[in-house]
Amino acid sequence: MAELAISKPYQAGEPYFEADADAQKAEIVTFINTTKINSDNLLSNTFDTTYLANDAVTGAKLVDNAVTESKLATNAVIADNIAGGAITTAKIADTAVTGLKVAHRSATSSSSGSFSSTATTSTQVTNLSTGPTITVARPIFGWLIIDAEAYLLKSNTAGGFDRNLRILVQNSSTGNTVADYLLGDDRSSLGVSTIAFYDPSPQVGSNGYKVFVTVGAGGTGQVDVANYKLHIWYT
Amino acid sequence: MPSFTMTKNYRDGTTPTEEQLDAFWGSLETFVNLSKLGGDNFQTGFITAAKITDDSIDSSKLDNAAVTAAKLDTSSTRLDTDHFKDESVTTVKINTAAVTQEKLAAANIAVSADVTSATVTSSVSFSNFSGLTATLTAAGTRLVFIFLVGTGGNNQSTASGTATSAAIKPLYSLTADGTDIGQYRVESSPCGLMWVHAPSAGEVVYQVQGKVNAGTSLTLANYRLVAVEYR
Repeated sequence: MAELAISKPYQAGEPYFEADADAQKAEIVTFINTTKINSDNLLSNTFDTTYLANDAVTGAKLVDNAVTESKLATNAVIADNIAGGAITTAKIADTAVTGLKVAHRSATSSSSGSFSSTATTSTQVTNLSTGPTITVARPIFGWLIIDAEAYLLKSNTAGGFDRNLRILVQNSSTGNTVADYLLGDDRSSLGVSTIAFYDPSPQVGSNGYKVFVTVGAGGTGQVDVANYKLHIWYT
Repeated sequence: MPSFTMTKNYRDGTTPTEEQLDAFWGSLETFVNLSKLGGDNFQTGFITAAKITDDSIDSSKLDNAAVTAAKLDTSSTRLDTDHFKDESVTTVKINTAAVTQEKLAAANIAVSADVTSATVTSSVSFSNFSGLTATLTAAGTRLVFIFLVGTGGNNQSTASGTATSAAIKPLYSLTADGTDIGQYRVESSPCGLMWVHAPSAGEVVYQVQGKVNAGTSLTLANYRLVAVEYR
């Protein structure tokens, strides 16, 4: 402890000599200049923000690399500490965003199983409906994909289709038709391996797509759809 | 408040007594050793930058885990773009599935006009379906998927000919800058033909072509061509 101890060279009934005062003066000078004030001479929590001048701790005051990893508390940098949009493209290393880093951007329905229709109005194919709510107005691609041994638009009727067989894909929420393929051309049999569609401007808030088939006006026959799934890719 | 006062019992014209000197010097000792210096004994803001030696605050001066989340600014002037070094966000810094669709730049897509009717008649060589062309500026490092798809709406997408489809025997081809990259024979309405191409960097023109039997023609109605670069 830096303790100031002032001796007592004088005594009662005696004059206070110059030498007495010099000795005491020297002790004080020694304390200030040699012993020096240390933390023992300061009250706890003496220096608060009041005593630190604004901008006093400049970059030059910090040793390079002084703020090491251990100086940062776990989870010190939270989302609120980072300004929105701070991580621009330039901040991201090339090829850093691997496939695992990208959130799932596709959806696949259950299998249609075996579905048949002779209706001359649009009839939704069982289970061929999918797609979570659309949150970004970006183009969407979709396909009917094979689940097992699959076929699409196969006639079980003797003589086959006459004409006007249609496959439609509609937005489940808006009902907008994004694909409308007209098949059947006086053929005795007709098969299609798959279909694809493209929606250039899906509506935010809508929730996917549905597949319909129709035996059109004047047409005859039965539409069979077997073992397909509807797959949606959000670009 | 640790205010420093020195006891004065002596008077002018008198010799200070032992007790007076004891009180005088004792008050100094008491202040330094017991009362101690406090904030009130220092001027506000007296620790200026000039009083702190450069490079005086090294790692040892900072307590471990001293910088907590609460110590970092959350106001509008928090960590922004300038605080992050370019290419500092590497793969391991990104959480799985953190990159949502909203974070991705729009895909590079080129779309043709919506073609209500385009006809080919050639039986010798492929000729263009007018309007079914899309021009994409490719990065040169990604595959491009090209689709011939219906336009939807209330427009029925069909392929029809001047003779029965069986007689027409249509062939569909896609060219990239004039080079054939794949042919399909589809004897009903094509419900979404797809091609895959690996172009060099720069502009590439995709064009749908067709060829039919001699003496027949083939008309595509309500189709569009879409090229999308994989990312």
